[in-house]
Amino acid sequence: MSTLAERVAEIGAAAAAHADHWEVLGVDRVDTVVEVGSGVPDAVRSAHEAALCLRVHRAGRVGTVTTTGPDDAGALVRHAVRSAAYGPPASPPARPSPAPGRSPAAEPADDGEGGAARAVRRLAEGLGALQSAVGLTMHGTVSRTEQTVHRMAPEGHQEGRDRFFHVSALAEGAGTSGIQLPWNGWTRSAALPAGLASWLSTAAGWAGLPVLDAPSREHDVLLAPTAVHTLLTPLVTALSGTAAVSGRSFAAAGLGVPLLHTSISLRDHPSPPPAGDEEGTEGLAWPGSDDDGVPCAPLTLIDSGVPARLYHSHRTAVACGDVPTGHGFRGNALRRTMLRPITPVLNGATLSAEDSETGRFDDLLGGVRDGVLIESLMGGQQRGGLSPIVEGRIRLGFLIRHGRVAGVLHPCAVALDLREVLGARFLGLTEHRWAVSRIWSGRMPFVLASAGGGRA
Amino acid sequence: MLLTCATVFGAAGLHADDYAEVRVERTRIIDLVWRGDGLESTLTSGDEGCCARVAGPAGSSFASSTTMDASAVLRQARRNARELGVRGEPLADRPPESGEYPCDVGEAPERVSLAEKTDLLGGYHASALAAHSAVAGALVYYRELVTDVELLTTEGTRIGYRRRDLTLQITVYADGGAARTAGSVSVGSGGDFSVARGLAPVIESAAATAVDLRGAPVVEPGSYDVVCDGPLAGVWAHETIGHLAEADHHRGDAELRKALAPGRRLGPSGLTIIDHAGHPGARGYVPVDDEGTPGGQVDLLRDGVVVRPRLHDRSTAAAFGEAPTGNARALNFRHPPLPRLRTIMIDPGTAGDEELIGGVDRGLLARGVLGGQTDRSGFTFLPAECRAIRDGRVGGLVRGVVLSGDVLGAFGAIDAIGRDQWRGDTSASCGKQGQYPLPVSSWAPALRLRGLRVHPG
Repeated sequence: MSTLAERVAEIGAAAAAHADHWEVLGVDRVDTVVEVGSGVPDAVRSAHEAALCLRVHRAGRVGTVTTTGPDDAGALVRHAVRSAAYGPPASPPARPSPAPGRSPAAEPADDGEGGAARAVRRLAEGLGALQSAVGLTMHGTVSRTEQTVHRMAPEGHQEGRDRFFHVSALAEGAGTSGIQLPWNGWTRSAALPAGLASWLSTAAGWAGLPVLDAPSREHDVLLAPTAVHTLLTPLVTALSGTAAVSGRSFAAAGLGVPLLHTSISLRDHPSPPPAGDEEGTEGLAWPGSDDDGVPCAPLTLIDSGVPARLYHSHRTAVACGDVPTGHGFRGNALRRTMLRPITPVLNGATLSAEDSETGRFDDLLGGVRDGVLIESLMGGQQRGGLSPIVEGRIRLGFLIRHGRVAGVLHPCAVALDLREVLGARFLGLTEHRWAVSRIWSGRMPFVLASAGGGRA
Repeated sequence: MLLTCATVFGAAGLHADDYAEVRVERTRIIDLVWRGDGLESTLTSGDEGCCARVAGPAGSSFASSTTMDASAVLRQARRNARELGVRGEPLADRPPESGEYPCDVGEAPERVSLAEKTDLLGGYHASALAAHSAVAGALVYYRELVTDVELLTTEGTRIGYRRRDLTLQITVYADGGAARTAGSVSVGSGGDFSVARGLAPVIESAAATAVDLRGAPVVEPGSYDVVCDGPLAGVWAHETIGHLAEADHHRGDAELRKALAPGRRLGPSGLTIIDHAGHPGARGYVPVDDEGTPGGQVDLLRDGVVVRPRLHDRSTAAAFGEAPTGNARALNFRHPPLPRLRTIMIDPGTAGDEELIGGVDRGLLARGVLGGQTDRSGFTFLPAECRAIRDGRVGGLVRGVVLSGDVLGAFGAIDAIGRDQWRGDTSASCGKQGQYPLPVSSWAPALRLRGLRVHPG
C-alpha cells in the first residue's frame, strides 16, 4: 500500500469517528515537461503534487478542507468539522459505485528504454524532426504525467492510476501570412500521434499564401476541430448542471425540444482502453467513478439534434432533481486539482452525425466553391452559457476558392449561431476527430456549413 | 525566515558556477460560493510547497513539489538539468536583495471569522435573489489567499514577506425569455476585507441592471464612438499594450518589436501608460518580484509615444541587454516566474464627463467588463453594461454589445481622456501560460474611442 493510500485510510478512520458521512480524495501526480522553441528543447520542468481533500457531513451540513501539507489526520478532521458549521446543507451521499476498487483504466504505458525523462525528451525531439520534415517552425510543450487517485468513503476504497503524454504544439509559417497552427493531443507511448504530422503536412502548403479579406457575400464555412470546440462551448456550458442551477442556461429548459440538425449527436464517452482512437493515441484512462463516487458512464447529451440530458456532479443533480451522471471532478479526470470544487465537466465528448455526409478533410474542402476555413475563433466562453451565439473574432482563417485554400484571412469579426451552423446550414463532418481541450475535453471533427452559416 | 542558504544550498551538490534559487510558500485559502438559491460550498485549504531553479554549464531546470524539503527539490532540478540537457539562458545581473515587505493595510481578512464572512456574503446572495421577481439566480464567489513567501538565491538574495489577495464577484441573473441577462459587482483587494463590506446598494443596482436589460433593445451592428469608464479602460490597457509589452513575446517576433519600437507614436498626445509596482493594499502591489528584483516603474507610452516597450524577468532582460524591471511573477510555487503585469496605469487627462459624452453624436457608454479575449492582434470585450449616447446625451440600456478591434489600431482611435482616474480593484485577474488567476491592478480614467466596431451577441 502506498503512503498516499495509507494517509487516505488514516484520515477516513479519523473522520468516521466525528462525522455522519465522509469522503477522502487523494492525488499523487508527477509531471515532467520539456518545452520546445523553434524545434529545439529549451526548458525543462518537473512537478510533484501530493494533495488530499476531506469532505464531511456533520449535523446536516458539509465541510470541506484540502491540504498539500503534512497535517495529521486528527487536525484535518477538526478543520473539516469546523468548516461544516458554516457549510452548505448536506444532500444524501452519492450512491456508491457498483464496482468499487480498481478503476478500469489501462495499465500505465511503459516509458521504454531510458525511463521517464528520456521518454519526454524523445517526444520533444520528435517535434524538432517534424520541423525538418514539414518546413514549419515548431514550438510546443511535451509533458509526461503519472497520476494516482485514491477515493475512500464508508462504502469502500477506489484507486485509479494512469500515465500518459500530452503534446501541445504550435506550427509557425515563415511566409508573410505568419500563420500559427495549434495542435493538441494525448498519447500513451512516447511517439507523436500520426494525426499531427498529417495535418502539418497539409497546412505547410498554406504558409506562403497571400493575406486576404474575408468575402463580404454569403459563403460556406468549414470549421476546424478547435473552432468546432469553441462553437460548441456555449452549448456544453448550457448543458452543465452548474449553469442550470445558476439559472443561466439557455438550453436547460429546452430538453426534448429540437435544437440542431436531426443527424447530430453529442456524446461523452471517454475512449475505453485499449480500443484506441483514430489518431493512434491508444485512448486515455476512463475513471471508474467521479470524485463524488458516482460511476462514470457514457452519456448522450444531444440525441438526433435534440438536447437530451444535462451532465451533473452529485450536488448539481440533487439541486436539479436529476440523476447524477458521474461528471463531478475537481479539475477534470486527467488532472485533479484539489483546490477546485467538484463541478460537472466533460472529459471525452464527441460530435457525430448519422446519415450525413462524412469523409476526409480533403473531401469537405473539395466541395466548397466559395467559403472560409476557420481554424480558431475567439469568444466562445464569453457569455458563459447565456447565449448560443459565438461572437468575437476569427483568430486564424483561410479563404477557400474552388475547393482549394487560396489565402490567409485577415483577422476579422465574426458571429456564429451554433443553432444555424449545426442546424439548417449543416452539411457534414469528417469521420476523423482530433483531441481538443480547453475548459472541457473532447474529440471534434471538421464541420462544414453551407452559405449563410456565418457572417464573417 | 525559516530557511538559510547553508541548509538549502549546502546539501544540493551545486558547482561553483551554478546559479540556484529556492522559493518556499505556505498559503491558506478560503473559497465561499453561493450559486442558484443557496450556499454551494465552503472550502478551506492549506497549500504549501517549494520550487527550485538551477542554471549552470550542465543545463537548466525548474522543479516544484508539495513537499517542503527544499534541498530535495533542488537536487531534483539538478538531476533534470543533467538528464535532459537543456542549455541554460543567462540571467541579467542585479544586486542581491534582502528584506521583508510590510503588507498590513486595512482589515486583514484572516482576522475576520468564517462565521462573519458567511453571514455577510450569504446576506448579499439573499438580497440579490430578493431584489426582483424576475431575478432567476445569483452567483457570489469569494476567495481569500494569505501567503508567506521565502526566496533564497546563491547570489545572496534573501527575502521573506506575506502577500494577501481577496476577490469577490457577484453576478445577478434575470430571466429574459429568449436570452438571460446579467448584472455584476466585482471588488478585490490586496488584503483589506473592508472592500467586501457595504455592498448592498451596488448589488441592488446590479440586480436592476439585469432586470432592465430584459427589455433593452439589442445593439445595432456598426461603428460607434465609445466612452469606456475607468474599470473598462484599465482592463483594455492591460489586455492590449500591457500584454504586448511582456518581453517574452518580443523574442523571435520582429514584427512586434517593430510595432513597439521606442519613439513610435501609437496614440494621442496626453496618452501615458505605465506599469508599476503599485501601492500596499492593492492586488497588483509587487514590491519585489519572484526573482528578487525590486519593483520599478516602466513608462510604456508617454504622450502617445512608445518609451520602454518591455517588461522583463532576468532572462528576457539579459536577452535584450536591458535591466530587469521587477515583473518576474509566478502564480505560486508550482510555476516558474514569467514577465507579467503588475499595476497598469493610464494617466488622467483633462476631459470632464460632460465633454466626454457631449462630443458623441451616435455612440455608447460602456461600463465594467463581463468578459473578453485578446490575442496579440485583436480584442473582443463584453462590457458589463452599455447605454446608448445620442446627440451628446446618455440614453437607455442596450444589450448584446461586443466591442472588437485591432490591439494597436485602437490607440489611434482615442481622442479624449477623462480627468478622474479610477483606482479601485476588481476580482478580474490575469492569465498567461496556465498561470491564472494572478492578481493585478489597473488605474485608469474614462477614455473615448472613435469608430470602434460593435456587433451584437
